[in-house]
Amino acid sequence: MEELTAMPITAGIDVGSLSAEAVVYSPERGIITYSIVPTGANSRRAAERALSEALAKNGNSLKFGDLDYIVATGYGRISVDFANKAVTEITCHAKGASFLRPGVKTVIDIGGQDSKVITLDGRGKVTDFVMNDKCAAGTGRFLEVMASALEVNLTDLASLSRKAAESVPISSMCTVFAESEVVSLIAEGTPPENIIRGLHDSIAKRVAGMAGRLNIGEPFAMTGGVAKNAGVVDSLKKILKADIFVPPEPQIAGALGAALLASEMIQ
Amino acid sequence: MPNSRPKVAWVCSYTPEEIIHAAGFQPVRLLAGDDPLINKSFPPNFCPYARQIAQRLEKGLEDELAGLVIANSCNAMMHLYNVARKTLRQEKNIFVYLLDLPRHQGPLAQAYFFNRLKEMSDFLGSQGKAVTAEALQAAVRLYGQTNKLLAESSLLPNPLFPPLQPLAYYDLAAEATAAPRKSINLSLERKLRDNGQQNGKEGQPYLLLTGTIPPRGLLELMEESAPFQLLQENCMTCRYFSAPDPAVLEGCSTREDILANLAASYLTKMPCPRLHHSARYHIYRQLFQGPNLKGLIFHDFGFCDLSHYDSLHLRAMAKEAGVPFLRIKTELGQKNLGQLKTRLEAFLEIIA
Repeated sequence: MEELTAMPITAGIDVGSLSAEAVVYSPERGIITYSIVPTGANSRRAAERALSEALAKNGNSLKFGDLDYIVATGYGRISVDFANKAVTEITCHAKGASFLRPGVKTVIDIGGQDSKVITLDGRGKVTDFVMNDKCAAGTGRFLEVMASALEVNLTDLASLSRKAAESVPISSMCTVFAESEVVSLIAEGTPPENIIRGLHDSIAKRVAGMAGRLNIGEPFAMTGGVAKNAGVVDSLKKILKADIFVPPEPQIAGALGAALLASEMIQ
Repeated sequence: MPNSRPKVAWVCSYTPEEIIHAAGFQPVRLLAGDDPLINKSFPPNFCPYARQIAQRLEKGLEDELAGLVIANSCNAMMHLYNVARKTLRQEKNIFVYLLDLPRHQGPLAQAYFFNRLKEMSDFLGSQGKAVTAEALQAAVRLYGQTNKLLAESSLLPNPLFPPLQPLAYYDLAAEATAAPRKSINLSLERKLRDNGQQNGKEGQPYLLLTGTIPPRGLLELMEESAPFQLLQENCMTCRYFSAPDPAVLEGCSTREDILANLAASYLTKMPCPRLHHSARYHIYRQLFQGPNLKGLIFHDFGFCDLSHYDSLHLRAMAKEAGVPFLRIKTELGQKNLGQLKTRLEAFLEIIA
């Protein structure tokens, strides 16, 4: 315990629209612990819950008071009044992805309700970004609605997509209109696998369109909850004609970046 | 200060308020309101500013006007003129005047604009008081006084570097286009005397905001987040506060002389993207070469071709000069600007 409290220990908390993540980090031990919890209706409470759950997962060997610096990020970052500083998720995802895949030049982050493409200088510094936060098209929420319309589990989308014989083009990217289109396709007897592949391809095309506005380059990394859907990642690889690095837990990249920045700030 | 002059509205900063004032009217600018856009005259993919003004006319919110002067500055303004003719002139007998504008700046353009200003003076004179040389001189002195006050308090001889903070500058423009100018000048004089130089300081880093007129909330957000001073180049700020210096009156004895000077002065002010000449981009090139410009932010409210082309051109220029560029889009009437906060802060983090 003495050894633990002597080290600078920082935390990053990413409060997104659908989930909140906390990462506890120290330069010596790397990621000490992390957690992912649903955000719910209160961003501050979600941040507290994420952090206390992360600390509990570590066997409560660390207490809140052991944390030397906390950086909050994500759309709910302003509500985290117990954090020492708030930094945007764009900077944090870039930092986190760059730590997980050194040298990364392009980060695609698709979260619960927005998507971003970030370009980096290869040393973790953001050079440019584009962001879609106006609607839920092509985001985690979009996939949730489509999974519900198809009556399949969100986690099964990737495996089903890989069984598709073909990709059915989905012409509308608006979540509401796309849901109607999916319902019509189901009624016509289109195999769900083909519809799912079509949905993944449409998300990939949209993200590639955003990326086209930037000077993107390899290596690519993908972060955010949607990176857990291998079907979307496959579609993106195909359309970008490039390999995409997906960290083992892509959802915590923003919180990790925040914890890394906290570590730099305290030093 | 009571003002009994009938109001005549205008919509483009190339409209000489001096002539409206000389004809015995109180010039007022029509600014976009906060109403959600549901007007019947224009499709949704049309200039939101023209849609907002058309909506106000349709709702009868401008019925107290004596008249409206629309400068033919773009296609959207021509369509707005047609709507205003129906809603104001045909239905309510409120006059609507179309002021044609040149797209160039040279001697021919100035001669053309001089003739248009003469016609406008004659028309407004027929609706109010005759536009005489004396009335024009008084109006030029009155309106030029505002710029003179700003220029005298600025450290740099450039309207881009005003002595006021962004919000105060923006509010001054909003007030100046609605209230009698004499009271505006008095209050500005007091403010400048009491507060001194608040912005536009030489040798200090700054961000430049350009593009279409930003919502006030965006400026609040920027003032709150930006670690640098914020300068603006748009038609609420330096393009508006570029009215002729009263010195142009020296040697002017006739109405024609004054109108010719006004035409020249308006066409050579800080230009807007609709003018076909490179003076504006030349100014940007100079700013890009300076060490203090930390980033260029382009505000766009969508469905404005001129603004879109301008943003592409400035983006390319900024990229070439290595100046960080951010394009942000808002919708007129949009009150919640929280979504922009992340973009703006991320941009500032890149610069930092």
